[in-house]
Amino acid sequence: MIDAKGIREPLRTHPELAEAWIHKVLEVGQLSKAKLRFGRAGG
Amino acid sequence: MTKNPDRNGVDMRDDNAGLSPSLPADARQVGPRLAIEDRKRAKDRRRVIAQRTGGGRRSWMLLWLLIGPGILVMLGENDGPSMISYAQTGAIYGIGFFLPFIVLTFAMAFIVQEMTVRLGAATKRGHAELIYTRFGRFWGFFAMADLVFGNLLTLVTEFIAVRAGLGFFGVPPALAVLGGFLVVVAVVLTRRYWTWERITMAFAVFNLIFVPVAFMAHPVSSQVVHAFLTWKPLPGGVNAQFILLVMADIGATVTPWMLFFQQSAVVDKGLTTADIRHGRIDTALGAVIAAIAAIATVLAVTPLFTHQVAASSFQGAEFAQALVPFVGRVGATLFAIGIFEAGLVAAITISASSAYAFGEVMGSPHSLNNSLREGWPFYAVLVAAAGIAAILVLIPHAPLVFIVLIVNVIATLAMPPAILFLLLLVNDREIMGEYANTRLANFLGIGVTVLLVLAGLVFGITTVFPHILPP
Repeated sequence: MIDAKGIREPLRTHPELAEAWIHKVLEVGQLSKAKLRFGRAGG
Repeated sequence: MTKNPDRNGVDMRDDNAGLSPSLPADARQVGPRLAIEDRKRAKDRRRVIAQRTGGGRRSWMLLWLLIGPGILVMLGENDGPSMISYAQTGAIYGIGFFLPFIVLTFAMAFIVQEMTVRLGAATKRGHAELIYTRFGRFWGFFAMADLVFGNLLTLVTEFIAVRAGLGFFGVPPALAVLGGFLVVVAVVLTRRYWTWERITMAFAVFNLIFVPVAFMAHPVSSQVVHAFLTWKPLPGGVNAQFILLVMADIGATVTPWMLFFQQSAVVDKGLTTADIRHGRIDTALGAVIAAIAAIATVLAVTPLFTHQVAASSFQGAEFAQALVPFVGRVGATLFAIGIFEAGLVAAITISASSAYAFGEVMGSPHSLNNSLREGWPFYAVLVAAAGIAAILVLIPHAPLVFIVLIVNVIATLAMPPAILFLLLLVNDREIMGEYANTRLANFLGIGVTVLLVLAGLVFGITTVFPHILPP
């Protein structure tokens, strides 16, 4: 049986995993890097 | 000029650039945290990818998904002052030289604007950002400030057109301008590039409202065909007024905001190198539609030429009023709506180009897909640009005639550096790779550039020093 908590925990602490499909759709150069200027790297 | 790979010192070729080192390895491999604009753009791209892999029978849907920036820039160029200029041309010269000449100017516009499509799709960066990144901070800020200032003055002329168009219907100036401003803001508040684009395109299609007016003017078909085949007649011959008009029209074929806007829109829309072909079709479609609308405007006012109505100093509403005896109240109404639409669509696109350029140079989020919270500088600049222009139009005794005059001068002076940057960037193989200009593209691009710059300078100088030209 799948441990739901085991699945939810990584998604909650690492939402990047839930956004993986976006990285497959967009090229790296299309990602919004502008927010890095405000020191919000990774969030 | 120096070249800076990345102004934040971040290697943009590194997929993990900007990730927190504390994340576990598998999360780091996924990529940096995403903004709302990334999520929205990804949704749009997912539809494009689905259509692309769907086979030939979905080609029209794929085209539908990918058109937008080109149509908006070309129909945005048919702004209030441009439509009034076409009307003045038709009233002074009738059916003749300027019909095929209009086609030529839009062909030139296509040659220039196509380069911005390739630039945006290949680099995924806006025009101002590329100037900043490749030529340094000074040129980046210069280009941005130059554009924002020129755009502000142009926006004033667009709200003048909005006021003129709605004035035909008796709408008070303050209400007309406020209404136009609120539409600009409302479209932006959708916070979705796709929605903003489609709504603006829906407005822009009304640029073709001049076509039925042209039919109502009953132009002689044989004269129209003769004009396209022979570029004649030219009433009055080649005189100072004619030369000035030709120089003005050539110089105004492409204005700086068009270069910046289309590239930024291509990036915000998420076009990639796989979409360049459709981007070209989009630009060509925009040029064709805009040329049709422009030609229709010239034809629509030919009764004024035929009956020798002195219309060279007419503005939007005056043309509509003067046309009532010839095209009826309905035709005049359509004409006035067209002037209003021309000003409104240009106000929407030009204010966006200012906001894009500001964000690209300042390094702040710059997307119509952003939330208000994440993208507040972008939205603030956009609303401020439109708002300040709207206020200037409503100030009693504001020097609006002077502003209208100087807008063209500033645009012609700002054009040489803007288009020089474009040519340098589009020939830069380090950023363009295989999508850099071919020899043919350079031949055409440089040729058009020289023509645009010279014509613009001649027009600008003769506007400031009108006695230079012989009578």
